[in-house]
Amino acid sequence: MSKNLSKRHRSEKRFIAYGFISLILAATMLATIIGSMIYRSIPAYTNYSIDLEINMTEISAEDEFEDINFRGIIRSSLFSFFPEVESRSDKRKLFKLISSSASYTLRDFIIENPSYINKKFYFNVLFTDDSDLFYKGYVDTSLSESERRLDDQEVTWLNELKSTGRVKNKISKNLFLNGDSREPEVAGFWGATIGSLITITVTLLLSFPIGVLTAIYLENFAVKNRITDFIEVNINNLAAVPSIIFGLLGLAVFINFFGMPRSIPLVGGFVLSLMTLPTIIIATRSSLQSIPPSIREAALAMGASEMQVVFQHLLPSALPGIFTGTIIGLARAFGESAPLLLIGMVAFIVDIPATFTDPATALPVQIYIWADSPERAFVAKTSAATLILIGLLILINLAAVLLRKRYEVKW
Amino acid sequence: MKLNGDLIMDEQKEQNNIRNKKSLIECRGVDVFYGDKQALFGINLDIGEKEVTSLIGPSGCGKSTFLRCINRMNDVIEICKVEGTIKIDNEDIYHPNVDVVELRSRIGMVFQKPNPFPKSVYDNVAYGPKLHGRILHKDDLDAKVEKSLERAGLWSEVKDRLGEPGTSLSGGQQQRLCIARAIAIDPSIILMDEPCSALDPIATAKIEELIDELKDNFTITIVTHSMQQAARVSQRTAFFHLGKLIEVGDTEKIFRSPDHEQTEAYVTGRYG
Amino acid sequence: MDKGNKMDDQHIVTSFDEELKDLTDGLVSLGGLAQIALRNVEQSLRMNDHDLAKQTIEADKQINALQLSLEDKTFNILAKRQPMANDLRMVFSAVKVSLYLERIGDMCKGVCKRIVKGDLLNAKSPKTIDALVNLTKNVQQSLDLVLEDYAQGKAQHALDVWKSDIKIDSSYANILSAILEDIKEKPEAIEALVPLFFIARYLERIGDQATNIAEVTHFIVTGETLADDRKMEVEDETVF
Repeated sequence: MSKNLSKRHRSEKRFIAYGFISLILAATMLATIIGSMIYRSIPAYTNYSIDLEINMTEISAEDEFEDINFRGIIRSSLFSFFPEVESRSDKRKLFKLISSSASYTLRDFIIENPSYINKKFYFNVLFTDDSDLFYKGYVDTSLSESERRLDDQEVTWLNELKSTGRVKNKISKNLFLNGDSREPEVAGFWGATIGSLITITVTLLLSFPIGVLTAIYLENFAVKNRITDFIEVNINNLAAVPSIIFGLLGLAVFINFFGMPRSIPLVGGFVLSLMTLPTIIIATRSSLQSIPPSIREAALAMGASEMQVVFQHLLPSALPGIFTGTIIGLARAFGESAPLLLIGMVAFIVDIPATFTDPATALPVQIYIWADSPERAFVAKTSAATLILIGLLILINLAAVLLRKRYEVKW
Repeated sequence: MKLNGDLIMDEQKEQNNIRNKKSLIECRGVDVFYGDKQALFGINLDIGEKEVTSLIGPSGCGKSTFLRCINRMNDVIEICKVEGTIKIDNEDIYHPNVDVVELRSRIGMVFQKPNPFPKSVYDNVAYGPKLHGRILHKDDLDAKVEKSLERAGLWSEVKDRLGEPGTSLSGGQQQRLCIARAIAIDPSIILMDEPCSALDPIATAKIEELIDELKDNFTITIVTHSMQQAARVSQRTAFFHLGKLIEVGDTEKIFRSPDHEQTEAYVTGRYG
Repeated sequence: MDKGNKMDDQHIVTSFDEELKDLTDGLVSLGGLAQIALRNVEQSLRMNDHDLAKQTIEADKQINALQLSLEDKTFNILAKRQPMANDLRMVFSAVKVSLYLERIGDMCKGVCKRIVKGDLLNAKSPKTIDALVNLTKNVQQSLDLVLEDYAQGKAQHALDVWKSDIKIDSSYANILSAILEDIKEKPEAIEALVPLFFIARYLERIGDQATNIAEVTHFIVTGETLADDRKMEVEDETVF
């Protein structure tokens, strides 16, 4: 007897040990992944820039704004560092060291601050992604010239610029506030984030009411026959359908048949809500089923009609489960890219979307696009965007936990 | 040829004449089916006004099924079919014109396991009157809640805890809360399905005392597994067996010297 | 369902059956003891057997003890088992029956005491003695019948017992008259004659107890107590 007892105790201890080891392993892997992602994303958070001396004193008040050559102003400012550079090709090479957006940034600045128009002032412009990476130490000068992005001359120039003391390393506003761009130093994920949020809002507004009401109907009002059984089986199956199928469906129905525009959050929301509906329906049904039938009986016996039983008694008690299911479904939808790719939200969107019908992209899709881009700088940005996505997902799940706690009912 | 059901009816009529008690609920030839399976066979039973009638019998004999026919709770079960006539105050409650919701608003029901709503004590009791739109002003509602709780013998214990959830009370208190909830709609009939089986002896005694007081104003029908409880609490007892009504009569008679052998076998514990 | 003798049907809880059987057996034993006592009385009267009379007096203690223990058993069954219907009637009545039987024992003791105290022969009334012996035999018969009924849970001999009781009562009345006559004729034998009154009275009372047992048996079997007009009371047509 005691041998059997100690055997049982030992196997129990073993089991606990296995579980603990698994936890440690999982935690380690998680830490590794997140850690490596954080490490890789570090370069994305800062941008190197340079304070250029802008001389607009030669612009007179009578000159037309559209005629102002901002590009030329910046060029001359830059070239002033290297008076010895004379050939046109060299000058072009030199100018390529700073971001092509520089002239536009200056232009926007002057528009907002017209008083600067004939002044002399320092203005901060970004370096291009190659220069930025060089300063961050990602260009291996030991390699031969043909094997790197910057040749020796460019390297020399960059070093000289650095020694002037005008080179700054600042937190990248662009990453957090801009839409996508061809130029890595300007590209940001804010557009994609807003696109995701709008899409998710559409998904929520569509799938939550439809899902909850469908579940209520199927659970409490539909006649129980083969048809409703069939529907139930299919809903359960739909929850496991690969998301790309929904993309195909969206493409065929919303875009081809109804002729809705591609790449807008509205259509994205439609498609994602198709995907989320089964999850919400199943979560709602299971919440409703978990309510003790005694509550329903008590309410009916008091003279409540079926509708009143559902809406005054069952639904309030089922809310925690419904919220959890909804948020899990939404979190899944938030991280989906395949269906959105199919309906065209893979387009290159620069502007931050503002309404349901502005062209937009979603964060997972943005990550995909950036991951696919050749520029080295996008590597860091992809990691940064991924971290943001994970962060948002954690927030969404946290909301689930909090909502559930708030509405929890003790039996 | 007189069938058993007819004989029982004759007995009842004779007994009722002697008692001079009005029958509030009259059941004739009630058959209940669950799908193909018949659960009740030709039940003829009268339930007298403002007294306690207990339904006893072994498990599965149909007494709970019969109870639930009175407030048409069996309608909720899809495969359940009820035939025969049940009249409450001379109205056939299974007539197609009858509004089930309205019917149930006149009948209170208390279940085996206390099932207060997951709301506050106050809201539990106020639910019925609010649901049926009978009381509109807050003051009247407050008074109603207080009166119902008092009648249920619970007021002194909960008057400072009206906002707490109904589920925070003890088992016995919860059951009395359910009774308060039921009587708040001023029903004419209260149906109780083994109300004390989940309670300890003291809680049970309190509820039995409550039933004793309530019978002056309500017609109470109680299903119970405890013969001692039926003997203590009711004035009339009906014995069911395998879906048939075997005997019905004054409680004292059923427990002193029942007419039917089966009844005697059950109450003495020779068969169950 | 087995429709045998109602008392024999098994309870689901067998220890209940055992307790009831214990009680019934006890009552049957008590009845037996009462019957023995009565037979001893008959013989003592007939033979003027003082020794037997003394034994009978002593044996009454056994009867009392048994009655008390049966009372105890009944009390326990009522507390433990909450008997219903026929069980209730039987258990409730067991106390009454045991008391009646115990009283019969007391009466027998009383007769025997009278036999031992005085000397029957001194009464010089052989006819009266004979009448008393006959009276005893009739009472015996009644008691035997009611105990048979009780043991079997039937009330079939009730009518016989009733008729018998009428005979007993008239015998009693006759005996009383005879003794009165004797006293008038032989006043000097009054000390020996008076005890005969008592003996007759005791015997008549035993008959009454038997009738009581019959009524109780009727209640157990049918659940009805006899209405006053149907009670087996017989007119007391005695001289005093």
